[in-house]
Amino acid sequence: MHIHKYEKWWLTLGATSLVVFLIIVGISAFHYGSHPPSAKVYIDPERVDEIAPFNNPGVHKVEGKDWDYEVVFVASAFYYNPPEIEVPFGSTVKFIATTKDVVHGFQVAGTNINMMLEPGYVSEYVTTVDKAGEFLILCNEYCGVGHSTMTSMLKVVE
Amino acid sequence: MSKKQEKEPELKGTLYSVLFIGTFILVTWFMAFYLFIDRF
Repeated sequence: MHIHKYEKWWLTLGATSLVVFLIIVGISAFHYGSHPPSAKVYIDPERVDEIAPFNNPGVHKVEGKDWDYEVVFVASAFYYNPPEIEVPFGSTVKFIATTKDVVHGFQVAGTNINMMLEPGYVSEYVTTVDKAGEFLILCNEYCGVGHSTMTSMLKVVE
Repeated sequence: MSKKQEKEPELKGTLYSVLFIGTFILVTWFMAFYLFIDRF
């Protein structure tokens, strides 16, 4: 089979970039452990308010874990509880969230925190907040008439 | 015999187009990846 010289070039280029992309994604997944927000934990959506940690939403300092703070959020139409949180700059934070009714989103604008909150599931995300400022938390899954007003605020303070 | 030999097609323009698209994909991929790495 005859392959034109230029065809060999672009086949090589295409195959190489595919391999490079996969290696980078592979290293970030298997070496740095980056993964989608976990949905391995289940919860009864009818009894969210009674079940720990969702019976006490907010920021909790924890000891002896890989993270310094646990931030617990309960989403329901059309607000987040708590409506505002504050965490210290540079701390490692685990976001734990669920919903009491329909599917909601949990996106912290301008960051990689972007989870889907599904009834019956607990979504979690661990990150180190290394930028100070105010970050808007918003719902990015259409949940009803109040969807556009469904927000909270993450404050990273020095 | 030599009359039957087909001429190589002229693929220079195709090569440039492929390289142009390829560069665009690589650059935008790394820009998006940098954004992901830079954010918390």
